[in-house]
Amino acid sequence: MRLDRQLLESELLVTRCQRGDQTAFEGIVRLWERSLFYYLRRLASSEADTWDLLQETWLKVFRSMGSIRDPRTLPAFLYKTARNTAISRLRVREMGELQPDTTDASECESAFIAFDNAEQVHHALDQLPLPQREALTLFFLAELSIDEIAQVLGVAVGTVKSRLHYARKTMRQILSDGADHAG
Amino acid sequence: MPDNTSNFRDRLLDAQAVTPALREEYRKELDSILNHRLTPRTRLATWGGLAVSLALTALSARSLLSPRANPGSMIVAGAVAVASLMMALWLVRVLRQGGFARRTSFAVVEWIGSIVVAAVVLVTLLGGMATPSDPASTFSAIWGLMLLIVGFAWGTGNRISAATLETREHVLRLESRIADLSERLAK
Repeated sequence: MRLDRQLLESELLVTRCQRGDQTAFEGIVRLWERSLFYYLRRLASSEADTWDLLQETWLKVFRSMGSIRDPRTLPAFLYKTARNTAISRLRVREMGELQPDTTDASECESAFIAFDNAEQVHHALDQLPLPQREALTLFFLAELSIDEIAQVLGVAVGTVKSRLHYARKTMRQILSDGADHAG
Repeated sequence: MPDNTSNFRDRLLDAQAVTPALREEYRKELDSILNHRLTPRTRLATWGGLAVSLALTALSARSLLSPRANPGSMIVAGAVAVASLMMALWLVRVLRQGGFARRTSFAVVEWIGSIVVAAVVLVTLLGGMATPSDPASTFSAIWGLMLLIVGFAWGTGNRISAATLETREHVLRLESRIADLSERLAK
């Protein structure tokens, strides 16, 4: 499904859910499950933990469905809930890395990132430091604007751009190192 | 959003391997969160609840039809009859389906609660108006009137919210159809 259609569909599902349609929430789960799993998998240390986190995220979303005033904010709401669940549940060693940083945003050239090989990018993502990894994952999933990513991560827009910039540099390095080893 | 972005995203999502057994376990647990399935014990409790609801319906219908009933007790009996009948019908549905979606249970409780509250407010109001010479009765009438106004404002607010959501849903359905048509025309 194309992204703009997915967003329209999820807006409709939120509205139906708020009107009491019991099948609508299941529709929201089907629509966003894969992306949320992908994002949470980048934060959790094991797949079993990721499924647990995803389940807990849905439970929280289910309980607060009525409080979503603007259905268009659903994607940011879902990722923020997922992230908060991961932070509170996992208490990962890298917790410190998940806190807002103070990287100089002025060093950012552009948030645009162009990579072609999804398989390579997928494997390289796990080698990035956690703050860069989650910013880049959200960017690649392409469901949120930079403003919304900043909102989800609880940092300034400039910080997101900066993280994306450094993530791109690190990823290029990882991919070229991989190519050298392969060569 | 350009198509190539969507394609890259889809390929990235495809690259994520999952263990089918873990996914299956997650789906079962998620289903149990969203839809409550009856166990032998809860099935028995549901049958018990159904028996109580039907008994309440019968008793309240009987007092409703009693020639000695005053307006206050008729209102209470009517409200209890409607609420317990609604509960009984919902329980029959739960027993037939072997479970219920949690969201529908909230709606049923909300309806039953509204009916009971409306009956209490009406009884308070009628009770207050019954003996106008008694100051306590006047206070009761004022209190009943206040509750009625609050209830009316709350109900109107809810109706406006429901109408807004309904309109939004229609607009979104239209937008969705237009997007469908545009995609078909583009092919």
